[in-house]
Amino acid sequence: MVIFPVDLFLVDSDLYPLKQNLGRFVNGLTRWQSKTRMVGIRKPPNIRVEGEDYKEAVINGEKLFVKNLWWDGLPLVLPTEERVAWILKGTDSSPLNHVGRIMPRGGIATVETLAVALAMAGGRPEYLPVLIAALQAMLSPEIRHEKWQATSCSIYPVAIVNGPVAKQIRLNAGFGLLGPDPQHPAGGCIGRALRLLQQNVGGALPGVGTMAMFGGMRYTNAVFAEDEEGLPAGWEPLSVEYMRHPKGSNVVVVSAVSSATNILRRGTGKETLEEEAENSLRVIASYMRSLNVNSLVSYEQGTPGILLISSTIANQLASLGWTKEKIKLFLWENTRIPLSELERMGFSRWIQQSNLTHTLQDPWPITSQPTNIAIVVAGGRHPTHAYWMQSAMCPGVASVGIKLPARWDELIKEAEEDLGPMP
Amino acid sequence: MYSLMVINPTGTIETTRSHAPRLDTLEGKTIAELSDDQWQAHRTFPQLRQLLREIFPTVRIIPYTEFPMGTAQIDSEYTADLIKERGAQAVIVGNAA
Repeated sequence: MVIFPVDLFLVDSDLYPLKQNLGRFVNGLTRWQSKTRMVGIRKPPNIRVEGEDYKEAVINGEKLFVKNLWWDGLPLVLPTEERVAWILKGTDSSPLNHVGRIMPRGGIATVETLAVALAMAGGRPEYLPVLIAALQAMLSPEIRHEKWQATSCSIYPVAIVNGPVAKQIRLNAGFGLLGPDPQHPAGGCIGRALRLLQQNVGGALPGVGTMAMFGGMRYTNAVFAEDEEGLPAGWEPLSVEYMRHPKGSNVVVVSAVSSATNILRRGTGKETLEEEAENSLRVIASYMRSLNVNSLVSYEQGTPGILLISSTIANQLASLGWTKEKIKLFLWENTRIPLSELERMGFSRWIQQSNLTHTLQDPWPITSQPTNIAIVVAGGRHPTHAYWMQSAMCPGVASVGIKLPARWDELIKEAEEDLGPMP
Repeated sequence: MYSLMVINPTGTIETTRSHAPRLDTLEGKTIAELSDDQWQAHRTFPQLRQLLREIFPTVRIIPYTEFPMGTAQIDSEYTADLIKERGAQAVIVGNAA
């Protein structure tokens, strides 16, 4: 690889550095040799850390992780053999089973590797089945993680859990679901573990393996549950309606997004319910109606993004006759962008350069069909806001069933002893 | 002395093959260009081509325009087969930023 400062790659750049560095191109084609010639599988050995006593050994272990850049800047829990063995109680799979290869580094995450990441993130055994399913979904071809892991666009995975497992592991579907919540710690731990895997196994170290200009969703990605108990009558969960899983099954649905927008959607309270409903959907559409080159890849088979609406809002809309399908159609129609606007922004060239089979339409819809829009009922049961997570560089949406171990009930009972009664 | 065993968090590495051997020289060789059509590749490739030809007059360079272009398009078995069919012995892939 011949590396240059980014200036060479900007519009109308000075190309003289190519001549200055021509020898490096020639070297790369003729004299360069790889540092390793080994072929086969290599698992790094476990590491002995020592100290005068337990406390010092732990401190020395933490220093080791810091110096090797295996941490994320926040305090971590040392993944000792004992701790990891505890986490591994969350699955009946062999620790040696390969879950998948994470790019760009190409490291292979085994079940044990996931348990290590979850241990570091402060996780518990009952989170492991969800983490395994989430990573499997993230590594599926529909998500194309190898493209967005390294890109300059700040993309992160979103994992939405359906089924009874969500409540059992205390995954948040309500107030503060994207933020820290000591009452519902599962999402932060699983998301942080996923981020540690992306970095340590996949090589996504900022400025080195990933060029994400602003970084992903902080430290924990976005892992939460749909508020299934709050679904209006006749509305199906995301895993059923969007991904065709049987109702009641434990599933993780994954996509990749690059932005998160909080939308104040309510009226002043002086309008009729019907007026507020339609006005609020227009407000939401105004946020969704934006040019996103990174979502061209998902134009036909994927989603332009994930819209979170609370149970309060969903039930209000449903009482007025709005179904999910009707909402999607309304949003699709009201997010179309005139061609003249696309051309003023240079976007029409991106569309022409892409592989889209659709010709330019006027006005241009943000996605090829209304059913591509993903609507999830989640968030605090409050009427004021909706949340839009715009997709990026992710051709599709993936889902994987969550496999629970035989001792599942025992794990949930242990969690209740450790964490207290369910919130 | 107290000791703890901790597990390396970086996963397992599998190398299925070594990197391709390098060429002894570029004289008389055929090089293919593969472009993701991003980051001024339409300017850097012609410039690089000209510079290489100045130093290696007998090198044959197949321009990127004769292969599929784009991030997804160049990352395909079809493109790899095309490169082999055209007799290229080396490939220059660009650009990423």
